[in-house]
Amino acid sequence: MDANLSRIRKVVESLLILTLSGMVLLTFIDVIGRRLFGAPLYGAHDATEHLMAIMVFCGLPLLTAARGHLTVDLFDKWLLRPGMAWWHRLVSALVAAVLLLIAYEFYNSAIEAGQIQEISQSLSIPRAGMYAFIAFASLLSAVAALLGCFGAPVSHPHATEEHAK
Amino acid sequence: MTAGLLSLLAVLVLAFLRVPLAFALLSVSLGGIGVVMGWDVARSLVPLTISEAVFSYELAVVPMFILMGNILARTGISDDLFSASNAFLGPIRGGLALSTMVTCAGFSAVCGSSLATAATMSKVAYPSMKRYGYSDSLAAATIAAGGTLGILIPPSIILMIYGILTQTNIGHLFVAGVVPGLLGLLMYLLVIYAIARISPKDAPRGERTTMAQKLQSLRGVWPFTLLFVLIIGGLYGKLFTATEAAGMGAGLALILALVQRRMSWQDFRHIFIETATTSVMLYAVLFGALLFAKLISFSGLGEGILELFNQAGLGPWGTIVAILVVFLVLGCVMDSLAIILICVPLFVPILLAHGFDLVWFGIIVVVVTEIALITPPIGMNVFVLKATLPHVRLGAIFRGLTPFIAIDLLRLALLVIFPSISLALVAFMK
Repeated sequence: MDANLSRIRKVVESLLILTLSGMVLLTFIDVIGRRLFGAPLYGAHDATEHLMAIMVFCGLPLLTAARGHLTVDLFDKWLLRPGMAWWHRLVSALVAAVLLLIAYEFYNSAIEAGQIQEISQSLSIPRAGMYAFIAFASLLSAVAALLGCFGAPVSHPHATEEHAK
Repeated sequence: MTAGLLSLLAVLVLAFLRVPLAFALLSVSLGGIGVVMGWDVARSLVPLTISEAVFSYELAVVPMFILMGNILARTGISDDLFSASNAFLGPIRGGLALSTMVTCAGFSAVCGSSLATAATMSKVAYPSMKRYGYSDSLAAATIAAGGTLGILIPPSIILMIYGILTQTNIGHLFVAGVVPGLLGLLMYLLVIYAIARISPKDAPRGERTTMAQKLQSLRGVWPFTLLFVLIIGGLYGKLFTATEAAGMGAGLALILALVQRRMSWQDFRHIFIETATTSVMLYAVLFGALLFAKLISFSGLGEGILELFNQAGLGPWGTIVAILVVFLVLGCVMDSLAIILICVPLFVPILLAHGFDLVWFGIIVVVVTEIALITPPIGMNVFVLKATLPHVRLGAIFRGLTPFIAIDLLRLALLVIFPSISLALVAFMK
């Protein structure tokens, strides 16, 4: 089980690297082409937007599983006591509920987008697939949050504030 | 207005109870919009808000600038910057502290994160200052204060988030941050110089260097200086949009790091994953903040507060002072990103009603949150230093920071009274 999870994590991390590299490469080529040769890369903006969506929603389950979301740790001294485990389970349940709602709403959006054949502006990428992917990633994140309800109690006071400023 | 006010309180309570900020904002916004506009509207706004944010070319600025900062931070630029500034400033009394401050400004110019700047500089500069007999108080306070320059000198993560929330041009915000950032650096240097004159034992001289050593020290720094000039110059000269500048910056930083062999495959992998994770975390809170901004708008809370301010006879400048007091007080107990995400949507309608420039206000907000980073009880930069330098007493750091906080308040007053300090460069751009 752990080996499988580790393999999945590596695949997702590779996807994160690929999408981010793709965004930088596309923007770089587009700007050089536009400014130096008067020939922008067709569809670069559209592709960048989709790569960003893939990156964000690929990373969401990983971040949720790692309990890496931004938190305010002012009262950690009290809130991280062993007796407060029930509160962290409740918080995980709230997080899971919100993510499930997002998954459900994007599932509906995917169906609607499929019916009206919604596509992106320049590359005509079908939006239904993207919405379905977001729904699936949100569902996975909800599962990751739910596992947090039954997993080890929260014990990392500095969470992710480091990234914030 | 009541629904908006209750929602604001609920977000604050949930955030303080360690509910992840993104989900505190999302759940309260859903509930609030549900009550004010109906559940169908609330539900339909979820995919709409998230899609608008995630399928936005303009918002791709966030991960690419973070990537640029992470690449440069990993490649040892901080050591090169410190060596160069120390070669020039070291021999002056208090020179090591002055060098540290200049390095903080230079590093933050490419990094964009105050905490990362403080953490990096504590490893780069603190040992040198201690070796030369600097007091713990001055050495640690210099690094903590210097770290705050990271969120003002562009590119800045906080300015990007502010720009997204208020739909203000991020390029204009970056250009507007240049002069206040340099002013902050100059004022900090004056503080250190004054301390070195008043209490010479706290800040002795460093080693003398020859001209050849000075020139040699610049070798590692010039490519990154060129990169910074290209990015900010490109934005100022309207050669790039903010997103294009971010892509160019990240691409060039990557090329520089690879050409100079400053990065291994392991580093590459680590930097990209770290960037993506930070970006996902920021996007999650942005989704919540954007939905929360919609709730504030629907509930009429902003207009309600404006009416209260008017009834109290505060007037435009009284309103600004009241808003700044709110930011300063919250800054003592909350981190800067949280304050901006929660408070900015609340105050934007008030600022617009009084005709204030949102670019100028963005700079003011960032300066206020800079001050919050070094004020007790929750000065995040101070805590980062305490974590990396556990033997330095918290009281000594805060004591050393007192003159820096005082000069910061003076700078804040100058920026409020003279908006042109922030806006002059932007006006030239237009």
